[in-house]
Amino acid sequence: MVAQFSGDAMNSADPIVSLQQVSMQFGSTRILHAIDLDVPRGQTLGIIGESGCGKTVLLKLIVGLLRPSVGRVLFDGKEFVRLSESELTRQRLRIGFLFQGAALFDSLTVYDNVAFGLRAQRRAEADIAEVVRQRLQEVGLPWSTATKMPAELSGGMRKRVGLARALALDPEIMLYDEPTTGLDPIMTDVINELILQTRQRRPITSIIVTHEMRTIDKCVDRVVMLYPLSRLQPGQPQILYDGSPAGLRLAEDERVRQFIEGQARDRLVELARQEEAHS
Amino acid sequence: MFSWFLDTLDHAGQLTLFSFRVLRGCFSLAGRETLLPLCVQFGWGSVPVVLVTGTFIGMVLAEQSYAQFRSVGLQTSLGSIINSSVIKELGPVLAGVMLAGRVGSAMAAELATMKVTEQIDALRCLGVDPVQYLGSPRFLAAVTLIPVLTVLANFMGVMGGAFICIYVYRVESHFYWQNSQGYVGLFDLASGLIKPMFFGAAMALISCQRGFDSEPGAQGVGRAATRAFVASFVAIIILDFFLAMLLNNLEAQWWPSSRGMR
Repeated sequence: MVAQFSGDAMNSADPIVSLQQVSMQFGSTRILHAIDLDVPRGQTLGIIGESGCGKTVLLKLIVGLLRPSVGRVLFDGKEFVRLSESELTRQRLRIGFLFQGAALFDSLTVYDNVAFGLRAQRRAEADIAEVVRQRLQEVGLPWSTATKMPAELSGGMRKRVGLARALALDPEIMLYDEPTTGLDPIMTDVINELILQTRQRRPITSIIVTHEMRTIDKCVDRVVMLYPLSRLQPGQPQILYDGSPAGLRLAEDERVRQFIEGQARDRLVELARQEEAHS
Repeated sequence: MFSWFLDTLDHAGQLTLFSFRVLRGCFSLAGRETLLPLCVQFGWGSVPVVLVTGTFIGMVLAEQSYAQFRSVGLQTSLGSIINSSVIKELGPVLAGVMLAGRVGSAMAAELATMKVTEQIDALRCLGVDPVQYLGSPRFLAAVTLIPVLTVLANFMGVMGGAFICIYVYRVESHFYWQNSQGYVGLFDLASGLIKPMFFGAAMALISCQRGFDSEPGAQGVGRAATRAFVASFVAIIILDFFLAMLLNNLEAQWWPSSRGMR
């Protein structure tokens, strides 16, 4: 089931997203270093790694919210930094983004949130109503939530509205930034189901940044594990693992197994030592 | 010292670029559906505070100048000094500062919160330029509403001053108004309405830019709001000086006779 849309696309030499030697730093803090990553059309890619390893930054680089310090980020062969304003907007609409906190516009109702991107495209109001109704239904929200304000919603509902809003524009690729963080186990599984459903209904490419191993096991074709730069020796690659989710548990790298099994080992001691060195 | 200079230059450059984007958005009427609610929020919400401060400014001017004018027997001329101060300076500046305090810092805090909660990023992802969508209607609302608020502040200031002079200090009302009339001309009224438009523009641009430029976290939001107010206030006072100079020169050149009348 997982490989539904990935069969032919996997072999395609024409990836929808391509990162070439991408490095990113904020001020003097280096987040990403020399990342090479191709995402074939139709694939569902999971990106894992501990907090602060640059997963979210990676997503924001792909959608062009951030510019790489070094290297190139290509979306469908185009480099966002070289596009004109209007072309950039057009390309960005092909990408859906589910933000970590859903990032709903809190002055607008659920309906207006989902309709927002469509209105910006000057679509007819009747079409918009139809799309909003469909998308809310798709993410399992009753029509009565349409008139609610984001502040009245629970965390899980906000995430689902965020997903409906991103899907309203029929993106070719969905980026999920920690879609299940802060949700209870049931709601986590609901979101996982939605991610699966989303790709079953349309030939969509997905990139999911997560800490949640259940999401990895259930939803993805391929996993990439990033490691914080600050913990690497110079010259070591930042991508520790790139392969199938099944292979993750068999990985030889100690650090990969430590992460998926959630074992701190001597990390606490190490963290304390780092703190000392800083102060 | 040198780095402070560079920082200031950097801020000025960013503000300039930001302003161009906002102005461009004004022409394409970006975010026009939010304009009316913003006008209500900025304008209607500021009416009470402008009314109260305007009245008291007029009253305190009367109170402070009465004794001095009285001592030289010129109390009937009080109207001229009070009304021209209110209409040329205090009304516009007061409206600008009130708007900066009430609206500017709230605007900065709102935009900063939107940035922290990734709503600004979300706008971008939905194909909307956040600077134009959020900045332009705020700019337009501030620029169009501030003259209205100034008129209100002026009116209340004039009334407040007249109330204290005529009813409390028993200045002859006929002469009070007659003297006022001679000293406040059409040009003064007009310049008193042109200046606040610049104050409103500066306040809106500075406050929005501070909001967009905010650092993460609750502290960043708070700091953006404070900085928005302080920077707007300083900008308003400095602009006021230069605009006064410019407008006075224009008046002297175009209507050399108008000064002689006084």
